Amino acid sequence: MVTLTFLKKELVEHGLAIAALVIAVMVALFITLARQQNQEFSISPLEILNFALFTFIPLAAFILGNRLIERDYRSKAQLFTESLPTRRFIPVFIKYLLGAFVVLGLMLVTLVMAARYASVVDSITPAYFGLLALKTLSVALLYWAIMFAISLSGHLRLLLYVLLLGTIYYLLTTRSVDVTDFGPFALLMDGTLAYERVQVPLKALQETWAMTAAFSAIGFLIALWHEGSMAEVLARPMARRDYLMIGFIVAAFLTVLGILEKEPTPDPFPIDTRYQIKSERHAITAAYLDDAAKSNAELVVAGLDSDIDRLQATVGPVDLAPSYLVHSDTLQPWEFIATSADGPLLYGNMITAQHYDRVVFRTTVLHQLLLATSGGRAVFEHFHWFLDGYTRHLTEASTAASTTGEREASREELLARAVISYEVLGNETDLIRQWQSIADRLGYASAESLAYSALMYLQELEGEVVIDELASRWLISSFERDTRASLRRWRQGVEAEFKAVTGIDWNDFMAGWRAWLPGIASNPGVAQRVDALNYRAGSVAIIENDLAGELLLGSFASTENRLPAAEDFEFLDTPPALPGDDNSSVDEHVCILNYSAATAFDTEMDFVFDDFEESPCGEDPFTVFDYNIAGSGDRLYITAEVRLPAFHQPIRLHAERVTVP
Amino acid sequence: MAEPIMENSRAARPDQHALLAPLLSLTDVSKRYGKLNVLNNLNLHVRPGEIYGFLGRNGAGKSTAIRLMMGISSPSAGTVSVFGEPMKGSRCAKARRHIGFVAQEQSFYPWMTPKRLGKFMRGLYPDWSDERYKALLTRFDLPLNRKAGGFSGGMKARLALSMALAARPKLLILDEPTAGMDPVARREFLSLVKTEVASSDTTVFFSTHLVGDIESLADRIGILDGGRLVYEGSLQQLSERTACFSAIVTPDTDAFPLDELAGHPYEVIRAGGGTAEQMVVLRWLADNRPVIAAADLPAGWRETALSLEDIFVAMILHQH
Repeated sequence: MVTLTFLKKELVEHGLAIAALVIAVMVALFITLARQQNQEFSISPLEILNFALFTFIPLAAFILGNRLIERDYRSKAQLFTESLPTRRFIPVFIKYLLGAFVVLGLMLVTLVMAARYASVVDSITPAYFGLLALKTLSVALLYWAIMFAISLSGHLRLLLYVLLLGTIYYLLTTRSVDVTDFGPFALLMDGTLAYERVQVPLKALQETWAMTAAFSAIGFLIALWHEGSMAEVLARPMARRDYLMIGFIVAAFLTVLGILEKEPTPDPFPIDTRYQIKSERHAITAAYLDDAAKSNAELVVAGLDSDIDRLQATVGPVDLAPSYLVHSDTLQPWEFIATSADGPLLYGNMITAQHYDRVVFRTTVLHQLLLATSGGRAVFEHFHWFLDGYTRHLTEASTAASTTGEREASREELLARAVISYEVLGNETDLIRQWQSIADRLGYASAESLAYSALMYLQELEGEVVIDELASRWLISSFERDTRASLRRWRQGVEAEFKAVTGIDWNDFMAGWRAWLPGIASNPGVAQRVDALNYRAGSVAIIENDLAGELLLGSFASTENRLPAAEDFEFLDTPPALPGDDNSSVDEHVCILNYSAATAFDTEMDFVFDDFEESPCGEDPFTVFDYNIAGSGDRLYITAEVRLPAFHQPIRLHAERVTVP
Repeated sequence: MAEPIMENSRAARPDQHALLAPLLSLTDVSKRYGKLNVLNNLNLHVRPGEIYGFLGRNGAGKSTAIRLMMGISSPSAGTVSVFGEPMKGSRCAKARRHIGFVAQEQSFYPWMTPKRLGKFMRGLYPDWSDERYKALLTRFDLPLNRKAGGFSGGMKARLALSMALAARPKLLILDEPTAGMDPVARREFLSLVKTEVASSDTTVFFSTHLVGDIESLADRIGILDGGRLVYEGSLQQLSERTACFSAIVTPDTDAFPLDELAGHPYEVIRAGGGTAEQMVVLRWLADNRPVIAAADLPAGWRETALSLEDIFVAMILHQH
């Protein structure tokens, strides 16, 4: 009788709200089912169970907790309730049961509706339905138990909601703790919630039930502890000491997260020990996988040892992640794939690699190492150009694993590339202000050559020591997350810091470098390579062709020849004639068009092209290929490059983002 | 601290109450909150049909004692019995079916109207009378369909009394029900209590810090101070056994001749005063207080009448 009276009281008080909630959930459910049926890649309407458990079921539990419990305590009717002829436990228990009934009811209705839709094309057996019900209702009940406990926490509830969401976010994003096999996370996250028909996830269910019991117990404990005084006190507005306590809790929470965030030492990247070379001085491991690649792998590791020694001698001890180098015979000599394991992981072809390629290999490793040390931040700083140039500077200067001739040839090739790149860009080039667009237009290899040439110029002016000083200041102190240094840089600018170290105004330095760079072409080794390239410009266009569909076209021109404009392409019946040049090396030029779907935030570093087309320039400097994988309005990033024997890597002459007509 | 004064009410005012077993008993009851001793060996017995006034200053422990009587809190030591049964576990809920309670701060479910509250209470109290409830609401001039959350303090107190009385309780516990009321509302409320209680055999436990609230109601009073009873007996006895003598101070004023009272057991509750007036308040410990004629008093001294509030204040001050 008493129980019924309290139940009636709850229904009268919250009946309308519960009815509104049920209607809202039903509407959400129908919309979700309708949307789900129209989705292109949907397999079953049962997929909405996941959606429901991430959205409206926890929302419903939250609203119910607030209505049924928090509102009641806020009205300060506790003494009145306690003076009534019932046990203190009963009113709270009625609220708990009513909330659980509504949440489970909503979940069950959702399940029944989803199963009904799914049964049109799927066999929903009683066992399958039972398994779905067991999993979804367990999670839904956990939601209610959590909301029940938090709602009883009165003025601390907002803090607890924030901590709860923060904890869930942390658990789902951190690599320190893996919760995907645990309780509700396992039930919700592994994608089997809707599709597993046979296996009962007993461990996850038991953990979920245990959590439900724990949160429910916490809720009842708060409600009944010290004759109900705890819930009563918590229902009062916050006092100063509550604010202090909240501050303390938040600080403790952040501290704990900070401690947990220290990532555990990962297992080393698995490399077959029969084909590996490990550096004795540094955490560098090369997997050569083929005996033919062994000698080159040894040279790369020896060179890197020397490079890292030099780096640490210059800037002091640096905590560098383990690096892995893996031979891949499917790659071209100039191709490298940079990715990460628990440190930089680079794939390259070590059989075909010549000295220049090995230097590029080492440079890429150093670049990735320093980038990883900065948490990836260095590429967004204004000294990004310096990072690119300095890593090459280290490897080029190293005398390890190379002969004098090899080093000289490598340096000449690099400077020749810089001269050509400068010619392509024009004489307003500024390495700080334009670095991202330079790298985007010319690709990493050419941008790096420009940065390297600038450091060569600086070395001529001020000597090696200023380069090391800049490295120490920009690369290492920044990488150690020196907040004061970052603030100072933000206030003063990188140019001011450059001047502070070198004594040279940045604009004067750029002007001097621009004047110096063409001059180095007088070096015979450099000049020979610069002259070997017949082209200084490229262009690309997509035109509609009635017979072949969309056509992607590219053209290449020497400095003396005009490139066809985009509108000229459609009037060409045959490729244009080669620029007048009798140089025999023309036949060795290969013209390449690369393209990829463009996104808003792509950079030269992470660009892996979807496809490419190449043809000998000597026969057809006008590269054409059918293009039919993208739709009208799609954006493509297209580059026009030339490969020739004088350079180990293709030289990019043009890059453009084009919208498909 | 002085020992509590326990008057023999049967001797002072023999009536039928004293012959019955207590309806409400607190025996050696203590209540501690952490290190704070709120009640300390409290002994208190209320007999059927009695109107018991429970006096004490704010913070004396009155509300704590009432929470124990209602079974809302449990005593740290001692026994609380209501209707002859200890207030423990499920017995609390059972006993509360026959207890009407008006709390110091009336906080009902604010969204409920008196009408809705009546329906709610009907399901909880076996002796609930809708007729009586409606009659009380009408008498107390309370609207049926207005939410209680919007009522004034006086209206809430009248509503609480209506609900308490409509349950036809055997025991009515009033915990400072007039606190915060203006004098008119307070007098009106007390009048209602007096009238309603007079027409029933309900035992009333009336807690207040205002002596005037119980002056015309209580059969017996208990004065609580520092968590223990410092007086229990009738108001009449309290008044009769207390005597106050005062004198305007002049160079000829002698000290009050306490030695001459040696034949009559007494206790000095208060003695002293300022340079203008001297005062001695005595409590006679025997049943028959001596009659002291004005002529027997030293020059300048005279016997002065004390109000119950004066006596209450003097007793509380004496305890400290």
